[in-house]
Amino acid sequence: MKIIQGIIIFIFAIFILAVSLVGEDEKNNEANPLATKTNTQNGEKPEGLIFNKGSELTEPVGYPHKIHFDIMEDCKLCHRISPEIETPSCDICHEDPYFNVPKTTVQPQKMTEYFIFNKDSKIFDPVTFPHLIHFEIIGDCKTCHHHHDPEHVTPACITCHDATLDYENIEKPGLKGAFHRKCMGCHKEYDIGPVVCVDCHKKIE
Amino acid sequence: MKIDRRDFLKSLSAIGVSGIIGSSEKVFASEDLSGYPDRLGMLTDLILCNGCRLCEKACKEAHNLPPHKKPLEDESVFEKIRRPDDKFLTVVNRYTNTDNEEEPVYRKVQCNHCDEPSCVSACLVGALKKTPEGAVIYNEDVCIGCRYCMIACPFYIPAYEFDDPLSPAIKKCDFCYDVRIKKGGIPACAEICPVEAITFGKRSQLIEFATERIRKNPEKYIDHIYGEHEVGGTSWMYISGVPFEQLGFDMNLGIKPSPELTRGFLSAVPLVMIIGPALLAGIRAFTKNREQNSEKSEQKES
Amino acid sequence: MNEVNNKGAKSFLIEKLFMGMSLREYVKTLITPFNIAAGILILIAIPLVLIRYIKGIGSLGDASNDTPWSSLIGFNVLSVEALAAGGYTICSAVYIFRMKRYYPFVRAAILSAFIGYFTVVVALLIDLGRPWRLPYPMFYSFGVTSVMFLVGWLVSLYLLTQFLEFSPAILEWLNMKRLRNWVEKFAIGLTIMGITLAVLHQSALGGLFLIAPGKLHPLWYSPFLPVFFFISSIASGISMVILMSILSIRFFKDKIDYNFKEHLGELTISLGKAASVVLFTYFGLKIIGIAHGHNWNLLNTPYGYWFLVEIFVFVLLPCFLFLFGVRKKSVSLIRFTSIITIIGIIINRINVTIITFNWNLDERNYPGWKELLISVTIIVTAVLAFRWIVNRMPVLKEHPDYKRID
Repeated sequence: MKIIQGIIIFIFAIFILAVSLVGEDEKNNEANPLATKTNTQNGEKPEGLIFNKGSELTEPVGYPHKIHFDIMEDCKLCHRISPEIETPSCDICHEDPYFNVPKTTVQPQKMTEYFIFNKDSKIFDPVTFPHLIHFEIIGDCKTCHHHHDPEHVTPACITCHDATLDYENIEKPGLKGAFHRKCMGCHKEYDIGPVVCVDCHKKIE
Repeated sequence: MKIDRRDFLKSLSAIGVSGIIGSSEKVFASEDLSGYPDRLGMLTDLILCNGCRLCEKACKEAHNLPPHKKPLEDESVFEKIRRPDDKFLTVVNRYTNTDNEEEPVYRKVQCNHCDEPSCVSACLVGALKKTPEGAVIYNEDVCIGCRYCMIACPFYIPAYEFDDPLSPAIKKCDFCYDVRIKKGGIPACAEICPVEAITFGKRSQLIEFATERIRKNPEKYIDHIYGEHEVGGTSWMYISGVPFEQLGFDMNLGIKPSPELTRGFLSAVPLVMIIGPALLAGIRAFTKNREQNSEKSEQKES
Repeated sequence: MNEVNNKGAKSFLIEKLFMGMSLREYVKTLITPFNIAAGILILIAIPLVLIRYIKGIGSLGDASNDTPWSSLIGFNVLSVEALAAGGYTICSAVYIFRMKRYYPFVRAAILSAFIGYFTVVVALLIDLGRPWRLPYPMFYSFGVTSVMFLVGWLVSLYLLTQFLEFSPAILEWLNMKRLRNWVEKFAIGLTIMGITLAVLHQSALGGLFLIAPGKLHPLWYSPFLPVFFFISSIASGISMVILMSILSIRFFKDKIDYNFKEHLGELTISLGKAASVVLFTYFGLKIIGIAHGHNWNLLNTPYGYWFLVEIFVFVLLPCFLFLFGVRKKSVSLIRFTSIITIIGIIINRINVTIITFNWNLDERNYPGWKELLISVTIIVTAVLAFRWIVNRMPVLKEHPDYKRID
């Protein structure tokens, strides 16, 4: 009998623990509306958001996010993102999200919107790289193109970074290394964007 | 380490002389053991490695080993620290980073291709060999399967095909010597590594390169190149952002090449071989003589 | 019986192999509890060995990549070679230091050494990956920097020497007088050669582990390992001779000389004295080994306690018991002590090869029943072979036709 009692208590304890953990998760979500990432493909959109919580002048603003989406049916009207990728939170680009001030003044119209990489791989599908969005988020070409000069056309990566490895010259990373280190380095550092292989490289079915 | 028969005989004679003079153990040390100056090597940067395990896959393909059973994305393999075996010549293990628990550290394990390999010195048929390119390679055709190399290896690397009844062989990373290096290529793992965490090049250049990288990023790297001096230097070296002890590296190996450990003993053997019988025969003659004398004196007395 | 003997061609078979009995009589004498037990063991072991050759060494299930050597090496090679040290110990006493009193032990000791080494080869045939390549290091491919190379050469030469040293007994048994006298001429040379080889290879067995300082527990690892192995092999050799003499008296009553029986007590006591001195030396060396490695602090760990058990219970205790037995002239105490010593030496060899090897690994594997059973079966078979030979050849007694040379 004691054993059964013990088991019941144990199960109950686990139940309580689980419930409390779930509750905590929800609280966290409420606390950081701007950090919420939504995935448009899966349709997991936050029901509502609360803005302007830090203000001393006015009350926080409740924003019915889902209703807006239901009416407009297009994320791009507000979020300038591609439907393929996760929506970053606004303050990644906009220092003050409520007044919509872009970080840079470069005109993005001149830039290529997408690049397709890795077209020859036998294991992975080609990778679509949303160039423009990255610019809009980062706002500084030099972060990636370390030989960028506004006066000239930015040199292609392969100009310096060879596609095949050369063991006589180990100082410079090869093309593959340069790309992966740049992408993943940034994604890791800012804790945003894919870092796991298959998040960018979809396997060929 | 290059020890062929002629060298051995040469050293035997050297031992003979020095044994008489009185120094025995350092005879071999006087020989040039700096190895091959242009030997190649690898440098694994553990800060860059992100545990994708493509190196395991490429290695298996290069050596015709059975492919992974589970997909590479399956992270359950990391739950256990693995060692290379006869199906995996290299494995990647995950270690928790005590400074930043969200970012684990991955460590690729494979043969370190020592400059003076203990396995090579341990092999009684000379099946293992250090090539001028730096690779420690294995010749299956003479191996008798005593597995002493596995006892000798300080890194627990050589694995054995225990399930093969009639042609079991030692399995270990061979630097892709036959399939790539000989043809001027690059080892499969170094070639496939997406972040180029593995750099392949001349060992001397790699050390400079690693030193430079550590010097430029002192806050990121531990100031140590694992393998630069360990067990007399290895061709495969590591640099890391977390202390090597936390990643299962044995930091107590010392910088003495493993073959040195048996050299003293081996050098004593020829001496005993020559002096032993002479000594025994001498003692015998002495005791026999004494016996005869005592017998004679007994006879006289009686 | 005499009639049968006179039947010419048949007589060799019956006289030499069946010891003068008819086939039926002979088979009857074979049915003893020990033989039946041995037979059962062999019947179980043979399929296991066959499976090893069909499915690989892994089918025995003990060796792993981290612990490549299991009981077939730890026990059947290292321990048995230590136990077979009786051969060279007694030989050097008799032929080199001319302690003629020990003469009656010589052949038995040589035989035990020969059989012991033979079982080592048998164990290797099972444990080696490709056993048919066993002669490779001798004739085909040379790894001269290896201690194992040395062990291989020394063991095979020693096996040959032991066979030649024992061959007079075989030739006497076969009545090949001329050949026997010819072989005897080389006896002293062979003995000296045999002793040198044995000394070297007993120490080389210890030398095998010199290359693995990180894997062997520091209390057992020492640059003096070859010396430890050599000195302890003398103690185990002496103890084996004492043990063998007990067993001979017990089981080969009619096969021993009056001479042998008469002086056995006295001889056992002086062997005990020698063993005591050797064990004390060994104990001292072990202590120097700890001091040399500055390992005193490790004594206060579980491995340290086990080390203390090994050197106090199995080295120092038998050392004093031998001494006590000598002082009290107690043959039975010396015999009992010899058994402790033998167990101690086996424990030491197994400690080095299996128990403390890889002491710093989290996951370790120990010999399983299959391999242990094969190990035991090899030893039992060796005992059977020893008995078979002693029953037939002039080992414990002198052949009436041959007077032994000095």
